[in-house]
This record gives sequence, C-alpha cells and structure tokens, in this order.
Amino acid sequence: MNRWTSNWKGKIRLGWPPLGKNNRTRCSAEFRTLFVQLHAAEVHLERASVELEKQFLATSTELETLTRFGDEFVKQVETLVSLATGNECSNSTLSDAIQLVEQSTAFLVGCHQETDQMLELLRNYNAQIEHLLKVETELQSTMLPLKFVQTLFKQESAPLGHGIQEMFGALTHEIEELHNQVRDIFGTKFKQLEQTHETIGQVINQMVRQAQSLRQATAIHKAKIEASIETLKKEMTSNQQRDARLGQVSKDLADDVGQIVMGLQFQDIINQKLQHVRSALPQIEAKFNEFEAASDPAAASKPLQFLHQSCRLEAEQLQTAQAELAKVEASIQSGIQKVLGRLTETDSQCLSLGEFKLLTTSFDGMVQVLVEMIGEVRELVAATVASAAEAHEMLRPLGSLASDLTAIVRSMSSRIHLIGLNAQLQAARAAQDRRGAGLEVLSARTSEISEETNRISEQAATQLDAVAAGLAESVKTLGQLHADAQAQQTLMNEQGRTHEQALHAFRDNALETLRAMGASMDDIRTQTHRTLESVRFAEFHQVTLPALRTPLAAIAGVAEQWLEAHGAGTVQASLIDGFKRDYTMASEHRVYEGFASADGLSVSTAPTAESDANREIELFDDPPAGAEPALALPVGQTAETTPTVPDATPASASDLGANAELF
Amino acid sequence: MAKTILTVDDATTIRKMVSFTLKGVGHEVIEAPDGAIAFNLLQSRTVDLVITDVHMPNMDGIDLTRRLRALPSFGKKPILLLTTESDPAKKAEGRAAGATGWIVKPFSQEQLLAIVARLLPS
Repeated sequence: MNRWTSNWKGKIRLGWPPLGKNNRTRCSAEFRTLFVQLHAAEVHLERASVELEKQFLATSTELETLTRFGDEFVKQVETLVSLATGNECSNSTLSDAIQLVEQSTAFLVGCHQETDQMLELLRNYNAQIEHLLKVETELQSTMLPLKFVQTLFKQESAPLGHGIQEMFGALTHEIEELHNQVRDIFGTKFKQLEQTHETIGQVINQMVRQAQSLRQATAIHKAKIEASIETLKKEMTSNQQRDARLGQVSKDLADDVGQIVMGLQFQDIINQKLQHVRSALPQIEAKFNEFEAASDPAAASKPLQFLHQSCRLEAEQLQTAQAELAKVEASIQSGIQKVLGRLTETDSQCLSLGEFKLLTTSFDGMVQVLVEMIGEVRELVAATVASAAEAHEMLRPLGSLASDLTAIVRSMSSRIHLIGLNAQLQAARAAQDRRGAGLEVLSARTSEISEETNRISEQAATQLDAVAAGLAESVKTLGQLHADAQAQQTLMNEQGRTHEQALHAFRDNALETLRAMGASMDDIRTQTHRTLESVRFAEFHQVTLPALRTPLAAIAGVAEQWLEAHGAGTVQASLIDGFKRDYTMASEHRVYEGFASADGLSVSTAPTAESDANREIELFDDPPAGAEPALALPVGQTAETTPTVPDATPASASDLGANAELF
Repeated sequence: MAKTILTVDDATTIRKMVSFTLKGVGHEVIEAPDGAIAFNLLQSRTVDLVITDVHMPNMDGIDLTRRLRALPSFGKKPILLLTTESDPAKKAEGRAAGATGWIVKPFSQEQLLAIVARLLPS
C-alpha cells in the first residue's frame, strides 16, 4: 500500500544562493539536472507500477487457466490409466474378459478330455456288442441238435406207454417253445442290438469329428488367449509404472506452479520496496534545499553527506529490486516452461499412446480380439452343448435295450436249464421201467446241450450286463456333460454379453479420453504461450528502475566529488538511521546492513537472521484475547530473512519451512 | 472438508494467489481489499479463517485483528497475518492484537496449505 505518500515533487528550489564559488554553481546545476531526471523517473515509475501490476495480474489469470488445463489433463491421464488397469490390475475390464474366455476355454479342454474317455468306452462297448452278436450263431449251432433230439424223443417214446409218450411229448413241446423264443430273440432283440452297435458307431464317428473340430478351435483360442494375457500383463506392468510416474508428475507440476505463485507475489514485495524508496525522496529533496541554502561550504557539507549516503542507499535498494524482478521474471518463465515440458513428457511417456491405441482402437487391438474371442468361444460352447445333447439322446435308449436283452437271455437260459433237468428226470423214470434205454441217451444229450446253451447264455448275459451298466454310466456322463455345457453356455451368454458391453464401453471411454487429452494438450500449448507472453516485466527492471536509480547514483557521485573537493568526509554516522524504520522487509534490512557496515555505521537495531522474533512464519503459541490455542511448527532450521526469489523446489510437505512460524 | 477463508490484501496479486492456492484444495475463498471492507463483510458472513495483510489503506491488518478479537461472534477463529513485514515490533504488535500466526511473503503454496491444514483440521 502507499502509506508514504510522496509530496516532494515540484518543490525543488531552482534558485541558488550566490556563494561565489564556480564549482558550487556547477555542482548545483548538476544536482538540478539530476533532480529533474529523478522527478521524471518517479512520475514514470508511478505509471509503470500500475502497468506492472496489471501484467502480474494478467499472468496470474493466465496461470489459473493453465493450471486448470493441466489439472484436467492429469485427470484425463489418470482416467486412461485407471481404464487400463482398474483400481486393481486383476479387476480391469480387459483381464475380466480374458478370464471369462480363459475359463470357457478350460471348460472346452475339459470337455475334450471327457469326450476322449467317452469315446474309448463306447469303442469298448461296441466291441463287446460285436462279440455278443456272434453269440447268436453260437447258440443256434449249440441248440441245433435239439431239433433231432426232439424227433428222436418222439420216435423212441412211440412204442412206449401212453404216459411216457405224454411226458416226452410235453418235453418236446417245451423244446419247440424254446426254439420259437430263440428265434424271436434273434429276430428282434438281437436285431436291435445290432442297431445299437451301429448307433454307437455313429455316435463315435460324430463325437470324433466334433472333438477334432473343437480341439482345433480351442487350440487356436488358447494360443490367442496366452498371447493376449502376455500382452495385457506387459501393458498392466507398464501402466502401473505410468501410474507411479503420473503421481510424480502431479507433484512436480504442483511444485512448478508453486514456483510461479511465489514469483507472482513479488509484485507486492517490489511495489512496497519502491514505496519505501519513494518515501525517502522528500528527505533527499529537503537536504538538497538545505545545501543550496547553506551560507558556507562547512554548512553545505552536512546535507551533502546525507545526500551522498541516502542516494547511494536508495540506489542500492533499487538495484536489489531490479535484480529480484529480473530473477522473478526468469523464474516465472522457467516455471511455465517446466509446466509445459512436464505435460508434454506425460503425454508422450506416460501414455505410450501408440501402444495404447493399438490396445484399444486398432482392428487387431486387444478389445477387438477379446470381443471376437468371446463370440467364438460362445459358439464353441454352444456346439459342445448340441453335440453332447445329440450323443446323449442317441445313447439313452440303448442302455434299457441291453438290460431287456439280459433279462430275456437269462430267462432263456433258465428255461433251457429246466428242459435239461426235465429230460434227465424223464429219462430216469423210463429207465426204471426198463423200457427207455434210447430215451436215457437222448435225455443225457439234451442235458449236455442244455448246459452248453446255459453257459453261453450266462456268459452273454454277463457281458450284456456290463454293456448295459457301462452304457447307463455313459448316458449319465453325457447327460452331465450336456448339463455342464448348458451352464457354461448360459454363463457365456450372460457374462459374455456383459463383458462385450464393458469392452466396448472401455474402448469408447479410452477413445473419448484420448481425444480429450489431445484437445487438452492443444489447449495447454496455446495457454502456455499466452501465459509466457503475459510475463513482460523486462521494461520495468531494464528501463523504469534504472531510470530512477541512475540519477540517485549520480547525485551521490556529485555529492561525493563536492565533499572530497572541500575536504569533508563522505560519511557521517547515524545520519540516515531514520531510514531504517522504513526498511521493514528482510531484504531491505540486508541491503541496509551491508551499506551501513561498509560505511562503519551502527546496525545494532536492525533485525538479524538469527533473531527468533524475525522468523518469517509464526503461529503465536500464547495468543491473547481468547485467540486459538498454541500451535507449534518445527523451527529447528535457521530462518531465512530474505524473501527469496523462487528458483528451487520447495521443501517437502512435512516441512513448513523457514517462511513459516507458528506462534 | 471445505472451509471458508477470507483473504484480505490491498495487493490483488496476493489475494489471487492465496485464493488460487486455497481453492485448489477445495476451500471457499472470499476476498477483501482492505481491513475496513473485511470487517464490514464479517458482520454478515461467517468464515473459518482470516488471512490478512498488515499494511493496507483504511484499516490495517493489525487493527482488523484487534477489532475481530473484540467481536464475541468471531470467537477463537484463527487469524493469520500475511505480510512483507519482518519488523519484530510489528510482529509483536500483531501477536498482542490476537493474531494466530505470522507469514512473511512470498509464501509457498505448500507452506500455506500446511499451516491452513493445521489451523483448520477437517
């Protein structure tokens, strides 16, 4: 604020008392010229200060916009990395989709293994059925002699009594019935068994064909999935690294912006310094008037000593302000360039856009591959369902046929066994009457045929039992396979579509984010140039401030020459001590201390860097009047008393720094 | 949690930088160009923290602090003096007036945010 209102302008006395010395006249004239320059420079300074503030404000406004663009860009990058990796890598859209395809492919591989086992069993069953079909011939040939036995029974029993004839008549009738049953069995059931054999053969052929086709397709998908997983893993690893880099970029950006923010505060700092310099000018003018009014050189020396010291001091203060402003300008420009540099680096390094585009948008990109894989695997699972259903439907009735056949063969076997026993019994009774030696032989033969037929039938029945049980198990397994395949199909239908939608949404989001990032980078570049263009402080520190400093330094020089010419000392202790009151900023103290020290003046009252009271940020620990309770900051560091121009990375977050002091 | 902070400074750039810094972490920031306007504003608005310059026209930061501390409604709310001043006497004056802390310009964003976080824990 302007609390030291300048009031010296236009008050310089242009008249010069006739002291009678040429050098004094010349000196006076030089002073007047310099004061006119000083006055003009100060007038210009007022205008330029207003302009400088406007430029600082313009830079602030542009910086806010640049920071907003930067924040948006960083958020977009975060979104992109988050899209690719998810909060946790295992939960990303891509890996979820891969997991589904992987699981379904594993299911298909499991189906292949079960199909192979099933084929092995079916081939075995068919071999057994083939063997059973030969039983027909064996039984026919075994039972063929019974026809002759039947005729011979009739012949042998004919001469015997009516009772005997009836007995053997009944026996021959049973043999006849058995023949009829065997004919029926071979005519129908074994025909069906033959058909079963053919059906199983068809099932085997069909399963082999489908298994080959599915195996090939699954192998292709497995290879694709493995390649995709590898790519994804690489991508995720690289995205995690990007994520870490992104965190660092955000922090670095905050540091860069912080550097600019610190620089922009120097408008206020420099403005106050200039007000302090301007507040000294009326005293300088007053001393000049004293000099002109002095009646002799001795009386003129004292005001000139003041002029000499004060003008040198103010020139040095201006020199400091000039250097600070130049440094601030460079610091702000460098901060803005760093912001652009970091964002550009983020754009190129953090995203590896080429890779990501390939991953998301290209025809062969992972999204496309995954969507296609989901579709293909879904079809494969559907084919497996159909195949299992068909095989299941074909095999299901076969198990019951085999069971029926077993029962029939066992009944036939039992019947033959009874015929054999009956023949033996009748032969024994005929032998008791000593009338049927021939019948005894025939009965023995019937019994032998019966035993042989029984053996063959039992063997066939046992095999049929095994086939029936195996087929029933195979039907059950196929039913389970069918049910599992249906469940997998349902999963693929539900989750597959969800994942397809998620993948499409992922790609759309990624594309939109990439597009937005491109737009943001354009905005950032444009805004960076705008912000850089707004940083135009050079005229102020290269022209305006030197224009004020130069006449001050020259006045000091003229005063020094005069004082030396008249044998007066250039320094008088404590002459300008009053100025110290105005040098309330640490950097001003430092300039004053340096100046006073060089001139052998007392600096005891100036604040020192070591002074605890001079810490630049402080929270009062014992605030009066009911203020907030104590808050202490770490103060283990030496306080820096100069408001430094930012040119380095600020302290860590846990360090409140030399600028902070909590009372 | 977002807090409401009043920044008082006759230098527009400083007000902008304080506002920019604090809004960046979600606080609401209102501005006043001098102590008198700030004091009037606080008759009708409630804030959680005041960050004020020392040297300002109409009413300086120390006077503003003193007057706010006299208001029962303002209570123990923190007041930070943000100034170019390094004068120990001035600092002591601020402390006596009831200020909570003293920050010398230029502040770093990190430092200001750390101090505000201490004074206004969420």
